[in-house]
Amino acid sequence: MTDSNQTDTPFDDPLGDDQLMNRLKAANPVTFDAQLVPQAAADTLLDQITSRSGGFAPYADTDATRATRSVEVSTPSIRSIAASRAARAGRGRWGLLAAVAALAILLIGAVTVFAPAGTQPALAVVQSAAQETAEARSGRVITDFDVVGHEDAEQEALSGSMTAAFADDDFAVSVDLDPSSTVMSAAEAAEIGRAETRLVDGQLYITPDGEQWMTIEAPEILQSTLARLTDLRTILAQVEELVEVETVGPSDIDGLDVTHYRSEVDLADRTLAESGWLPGAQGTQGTPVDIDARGLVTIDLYVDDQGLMRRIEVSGQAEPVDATIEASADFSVTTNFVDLDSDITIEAPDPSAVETLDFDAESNLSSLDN
Amino acid sequence: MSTQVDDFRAMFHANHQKVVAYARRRADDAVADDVVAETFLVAWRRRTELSTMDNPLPWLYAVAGNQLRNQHRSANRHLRLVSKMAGDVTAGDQEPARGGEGRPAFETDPAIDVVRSALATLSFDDQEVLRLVAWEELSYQETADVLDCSVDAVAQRIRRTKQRLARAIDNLTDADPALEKTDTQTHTRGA
Repeated sequence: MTDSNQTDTPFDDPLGDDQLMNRLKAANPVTFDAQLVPQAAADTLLDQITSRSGGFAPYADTDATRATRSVEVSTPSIRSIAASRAARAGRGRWGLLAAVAALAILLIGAVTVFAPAGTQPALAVVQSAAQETAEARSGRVITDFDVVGHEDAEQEALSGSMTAAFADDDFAVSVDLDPSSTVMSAAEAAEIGRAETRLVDGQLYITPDGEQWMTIEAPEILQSTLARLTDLRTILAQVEELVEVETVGPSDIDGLDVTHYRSEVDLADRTLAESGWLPGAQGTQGTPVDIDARGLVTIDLYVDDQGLMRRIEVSGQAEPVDATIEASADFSVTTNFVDLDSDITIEAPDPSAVETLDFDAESNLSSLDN
Repeated sequence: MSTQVDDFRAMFHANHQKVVAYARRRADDAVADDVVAETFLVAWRRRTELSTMDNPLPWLYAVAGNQLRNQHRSANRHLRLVSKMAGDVTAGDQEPARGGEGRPAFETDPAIDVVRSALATLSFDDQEVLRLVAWEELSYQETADVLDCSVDAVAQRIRRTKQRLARAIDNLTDADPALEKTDTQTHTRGA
């Protein structure tokens, strides 16, 4: 092995614009210095690497948690990454639909009928419960989702759970994806599971691993978008639009006595777009989603003795109205409302673990797994 | 076996500081140090293959670059997923921290700041090809090895990217006359 040969560094580029390159060189934030890391620290790292195959601390970090952290790394290949992206870009329309179907996860009540609200007692109970629950200033919204899309012989699945804690305007959101999800690789799903987003005092924090955080000056539009995850008024507003609700009977949720109600909504009389199922949705190629669908959606609602909404389950199957498209989506989304008005504090990460990241809200978000 | 270990140790000592510099140009020190450690752990696991390389530095840069991409990509993926679940599409596709970003401001030279700001407006790939040549001082061949493309492609990309960079600098200086084009001065740390 030899050191890098620097003799043919081509600063005499085809444009002959040495001044620009020199300006760029001057903008180098870190000039090479043999003492960037002390030799002893480098030697320690080298010893750790050569003496064991995993689990080491960079530069003899004294932090015990880092010292014991198992490092699992792959060997990245630029070519393989490019190929993977190309393959993803070629995914069919149904992969798109399966992915965007997940958008409906929190839009649990969006399967609405545009008609005046009814007057039956069960309906009044669930609507009252929705209104009462929406007043909570803190709590946790835990959503379990399972969406499977089929198109021809292909299938895409998205399964997992999202936990969103909120206290006034602050919130923390984490998502665990089931390894069976096919919209991304198992490794990517695992990465998602280690990630977390927090909004504290208007500042957005994101961590990929629970250790190192990045913060961005989140524009209002992004803040308001993310806030929908924990905005009970938004989540529960569509309950107001239900027309018919029947009482199923007593039930319990983890020992909590509740009353079970049910409503059914037929998608046949409107399109997904019209029903508000997929507002603002984009496919993997950034194309608007406008797929007419039909199917029966069952909405199960659970109200506790205090008149609070504790759980909403939305399940069913949607098919394209266009019979020439052999596709369908089976979905089950369960949203639990827990710890309402309890003492919850969303804390900003330790500043020493936070890196500032520039953020361009206008840049393109075209792919879920890009 | 001992020869292979000795070769690895020699390779480490020859390249370690350069990989540290590479990572710290693109991320804060804590992240960079993790990336460096993980990069050499990958190298250790692939030491047999690595021992056949005359110049492993481009390979190490490629591994480190992908480590950086992965770190930021996972955070971005989470943000995008959460945003999509919220039913809107506003989150950006964040690239790894660009040179000078994410670290405390230690430069005061507007001529340098405008170059960095202009560089940050380019795509990650455009930035990377320029950084590899200007900051890592790689040859076209070495740059091609890092980016896994041909030397001709590197030359072409540099030509195009320099034009974009020049336009970006002009746009910034036109938009803010305070960022007057001045002679560059080197205000770097680690020197």
